[in-house]
Amino acid sequence: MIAFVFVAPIIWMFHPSIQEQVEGMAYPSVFWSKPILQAYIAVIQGVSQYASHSGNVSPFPLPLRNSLTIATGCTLLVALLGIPAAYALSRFTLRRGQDIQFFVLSPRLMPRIVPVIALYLVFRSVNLLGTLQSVILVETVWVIPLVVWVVKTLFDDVPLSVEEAGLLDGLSRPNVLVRTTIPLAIRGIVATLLLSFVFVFNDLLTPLVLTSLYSQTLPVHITGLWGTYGLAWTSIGAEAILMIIPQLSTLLMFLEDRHLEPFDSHCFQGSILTTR
Amino acid sequence: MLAGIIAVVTLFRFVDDFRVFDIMYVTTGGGPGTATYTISIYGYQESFKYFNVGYGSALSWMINVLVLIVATILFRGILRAARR
Repeated sequence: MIAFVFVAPIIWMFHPSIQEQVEGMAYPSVFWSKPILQAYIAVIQGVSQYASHSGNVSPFPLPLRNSLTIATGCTLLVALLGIPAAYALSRFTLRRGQDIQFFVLSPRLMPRIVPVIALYLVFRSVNLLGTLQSVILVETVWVIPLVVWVVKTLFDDVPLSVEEAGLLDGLSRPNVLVRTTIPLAIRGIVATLLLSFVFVFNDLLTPLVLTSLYSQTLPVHITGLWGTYGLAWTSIGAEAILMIIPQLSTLLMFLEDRHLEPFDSHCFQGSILTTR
Repeated sequence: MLAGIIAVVTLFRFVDDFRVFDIMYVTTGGGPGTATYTISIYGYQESFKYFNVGYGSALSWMINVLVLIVATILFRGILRAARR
């Protein structure tokens, strides 16, 4: 029953996606109809349902590629920046370390519309508006608190003696991090990075402001289908269902992995940072 | 014992729901009238629909100060609870 409550919106979205377009728009709505895959085929092939005036609606494959590029680039960047930061916060007693931690957390507290207005002006003046790089940079700032805080607690759990053994054998600090500490915490790190991938993939406001027609991401694209030419329920449904797939596969990877101890013990921190 | 944690969670929930944007943007767009205007929708429409970017920037500063005040109060509470 509870599961049904969570799954119901997905079913609801799936329902029009296998109908014909006329049925999807019909009122009162048609419930039983012959299932067809027309909407999916059209969406995947990138044929707009409004082919005659598709000026405003770019086909599906392009936003999908943009979304994947942004999410992947952002995840790599956040791993590159966040993991060393988390390591430093976990292992060294820094002057005002607590304050630095809260500073890292602060982007999560700010309503995103606040920096986005300013960033729009900044990116406009440096000609980065409408590029994927700009979105990658901004999204990285959004997910860095998640990665730094969760990975820091993961590193706190790695016993110091393991690292000391490495240092004693003549490894430098970066080497210790790469060869011993990261492998010991790898499951949690991967889980965190996947989570940040999903967040970037889902974000609407930032790409909505910063992208143009050719760099728009999937959420922006699907919201755009809502607009000018009526409600294209069939293609909205089909695209929404296709968009769930990457996230669903992430979730399944979580579920299949039976050794989730690192993430379990930090579900508290995870749950704080992950609620949207 | 849980006071600190509860304060943190409250803070995050407050901020997350304070800045909620996508649900309104997709469903009602702030309407009917201004019944579902949130501060994010307002800032977005002012700056990017009507392009009153100056107005939007001023608004965003106000939001920032507001969140800062709430966050400071709650963080004080967290630190006090942590010290106890």
